[in-house]
Amino acid sequence: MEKNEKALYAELDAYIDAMPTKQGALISVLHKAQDIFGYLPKEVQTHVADKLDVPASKVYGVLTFYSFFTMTQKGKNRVNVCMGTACFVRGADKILERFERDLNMKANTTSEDKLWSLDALRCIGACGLAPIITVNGKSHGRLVEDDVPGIIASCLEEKEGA
Amino acid sequence: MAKVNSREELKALREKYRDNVIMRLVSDNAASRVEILCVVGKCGTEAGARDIMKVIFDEVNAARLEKVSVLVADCSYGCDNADAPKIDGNFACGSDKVVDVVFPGEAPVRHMKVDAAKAKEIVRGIAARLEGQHA
Amino acid sequence: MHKTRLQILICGGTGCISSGCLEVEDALVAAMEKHGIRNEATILKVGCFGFCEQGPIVKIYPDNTFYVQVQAQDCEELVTEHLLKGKHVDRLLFKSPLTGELCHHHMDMAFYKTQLRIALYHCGVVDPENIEDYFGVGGYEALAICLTEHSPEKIIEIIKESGLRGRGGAGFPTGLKWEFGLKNASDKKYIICNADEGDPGAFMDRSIMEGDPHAVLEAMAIAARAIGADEGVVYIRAEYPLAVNRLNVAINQARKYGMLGENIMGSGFNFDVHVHLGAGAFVCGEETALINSLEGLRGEPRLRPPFPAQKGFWGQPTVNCNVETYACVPLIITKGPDWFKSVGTPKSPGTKVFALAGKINNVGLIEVPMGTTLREVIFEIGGGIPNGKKFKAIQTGGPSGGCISEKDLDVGVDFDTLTAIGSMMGSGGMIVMDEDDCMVNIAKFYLEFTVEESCGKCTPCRIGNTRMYEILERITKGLGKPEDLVELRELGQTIKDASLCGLGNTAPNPVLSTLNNFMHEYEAHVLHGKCPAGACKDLVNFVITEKCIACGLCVKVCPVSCIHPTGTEMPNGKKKFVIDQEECIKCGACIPKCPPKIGAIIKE
Repeated sequence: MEKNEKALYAELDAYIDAMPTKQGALISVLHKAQDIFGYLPKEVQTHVADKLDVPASKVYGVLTFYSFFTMTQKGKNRVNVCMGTACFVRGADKILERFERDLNMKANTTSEDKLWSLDALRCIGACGLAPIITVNGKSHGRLVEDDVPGIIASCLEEKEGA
Repeated sequence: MAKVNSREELKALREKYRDNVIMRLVSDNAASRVEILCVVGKCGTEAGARDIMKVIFDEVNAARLEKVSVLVADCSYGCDNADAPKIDGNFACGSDKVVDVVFPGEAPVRHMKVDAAKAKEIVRGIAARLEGQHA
Repeated sequence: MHKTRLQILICGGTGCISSGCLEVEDALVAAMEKHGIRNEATILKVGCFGFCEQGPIVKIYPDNTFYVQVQAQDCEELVTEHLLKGKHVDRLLFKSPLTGELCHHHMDMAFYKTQLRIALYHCGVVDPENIEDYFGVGGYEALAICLTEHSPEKIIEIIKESGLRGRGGAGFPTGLKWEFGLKNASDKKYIICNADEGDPGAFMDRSIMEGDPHAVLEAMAIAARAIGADEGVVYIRAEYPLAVNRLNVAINQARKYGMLGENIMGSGFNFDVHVHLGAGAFVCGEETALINSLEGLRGEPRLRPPFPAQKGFWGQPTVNCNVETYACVPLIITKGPDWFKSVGTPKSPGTKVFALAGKINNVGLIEVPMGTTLREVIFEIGGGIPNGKKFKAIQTGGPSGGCISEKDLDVGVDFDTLTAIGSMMGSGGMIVMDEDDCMVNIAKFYLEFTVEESCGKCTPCRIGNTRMYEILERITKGLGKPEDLVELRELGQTIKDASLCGLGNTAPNPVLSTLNNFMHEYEAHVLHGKCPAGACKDLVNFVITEKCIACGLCVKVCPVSCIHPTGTEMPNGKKKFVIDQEECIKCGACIPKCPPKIGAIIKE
């Protein structure tokens, strides 16, 4: 594990070192770091701050400003419910509520067992399929509430099968 | 690929790649399209109608006839129909290849017993007529 | 000439990918191979055809047949019928909902008849991942003209003459913006393309980048030539992976052919573009916030002046336009400003792309001349409201726009008319709402978005919008007071006047426009404790009427088991069901379970 983490930091360092200029590079570096680590915990933030020679407070300030960055590890199954207006008027709020109920968790959190992350997402722009969600990167469109249990079950099966 | 060094070279690229897209640009305008319909029912296909179609298509390409589309049509006779036209005792489509040429707004002109030579002749005929329209 | 007899175009936009177009492509290839005719057709994935509701869409040339909702299992039939025999597969053709007629060509459909594509000119025609297609349709010709025939001043004159206005929201004249960029002397200048399309329900910029990325690059190079810049940046949402990818492919191809880089087409002009990923902040659509974000800072707006054309990216003169604005530029150069002006209205020439969504039959991406009425957009192109429901409102301009009611539907849409009726063009999202949507709830939905996206730099926006949100929250819970309605108006006006940037200046629009157009709904909530649309949970009770036949279907789906057999006894001894109002969470799961012919469960 220890060694594994070292390799991840090495990958990040290599990316930063290869940049033509560090001026204005912070957001690109955070994108890369989140790609590598999956999220941006305090240790990664301070590492980035040292590498770019900026205060850690600035790194924290920037990453908390942007919704794309997260400081918590996401669950194994990632459910994103599009809450764009088109989906909202076609009942996305009811889909989200159903997930909250069936998974017994709140939106925009990760379950304690790290099995699920449930997020309300800004528009993903597939309004023709509203309401639409993505589950582990795959989209499911024109959903009705009753589709939710089946989607949850298929996630659990896949994980067991794997 | 070499970099483009002048407006003339860009123009040459346009000419070169126009062929890729021209079908999509002219097809929207059905009113000016000439169709060559190759009848490819079951027996026609067995008799090699698709090969003839290929000859026609190559010929259209060689002549750069942008407004001419090569399409397929199902056998219009229906071989179980006893009244279907026959040639030498066989059904027309089965004994030989049938090609219809349709100019916009006109009735189809039917060509029967189309072999490679006749196929080329048909395309040349269309080319000549289109040339005449331009002139 | 044609490499193959047929060309098969599959819509490869994000919408159609979500509905399975990649599987369709694989199945089509497999079926053609099986029947030995793989060499008869070229299969291409192109940009959005616009009719997203009917995706995945497959278009077959040269006979120009438009198939809708094609699934992988349909491909065998498409090959054996259409490709082998030349017969249309009728069940995959679009059927006009009005006449029941089958439409073979897209121009037969009401959805396309009145559309006119300028910004989307080559979208759905060219293969976006192949620059050769773009060359074939005359691509980069406009740039060549600008490099060989026109001086920078002449380019700006043409753009000014065309009357092109910024498609990103405010409608500022593009030529004027470029002129400022040219006049501010500096040895380093920048061109920015704002592709941070953050409005929920808007996807026109994404579709342009996915469908015709070279048009945007070409226009950026033209803008660079006009103001004397040598570096360009596309600031794009990280949530648009396909668009990012296609843009990067396009940039690399353009560099290889020397359309970007040094000494473009031998003219001595240098310009290159790179892509910068945004990170999810709506306020970055504001140009000074975007520039801060590009510099690796929090995306907070800067005070203006100085304007970006004076001091922008890294303090240098910078011109920033949005994707759709750029997409119009190459055609204006090649076809001339008069051609562009011949479309649209005198003050808003050209066309506008709209993302039509919500409670509408034909969801999709449309482009119409400015001045087209909302009624045409909704009822002709959009095909009206689904399920026989009644139209209530159309929201334009996203979180910065307003809700327009029935009475203004005959207004021809352009920048100025929309502002005059209390909404705005914004980037061009259009969301249709029907009788089931509560306008107070919708206003709250937008305000929740703004509150979350407010950067917090200036007080009116940070605190004012939060206070407005709290009031709306109270009203939707039935706790509103009559004076709340007065306060909403006052707060809204103050926030509009006193905020620093466009986000704050427009944030109250959804509230103010609904107050103006749907006051009766606010009053119903505040004065009578009722939500006329039945959307605000706290003001609605689910009740089982005497029509109940005690079948028990609703009991099975109730997640909180609050439906009990405690009602009137029926002749067979069974008791009718009753919903316990204390326990009911108002999820509405029971309503669709009650058989329609019984219809015993109602909202009141």
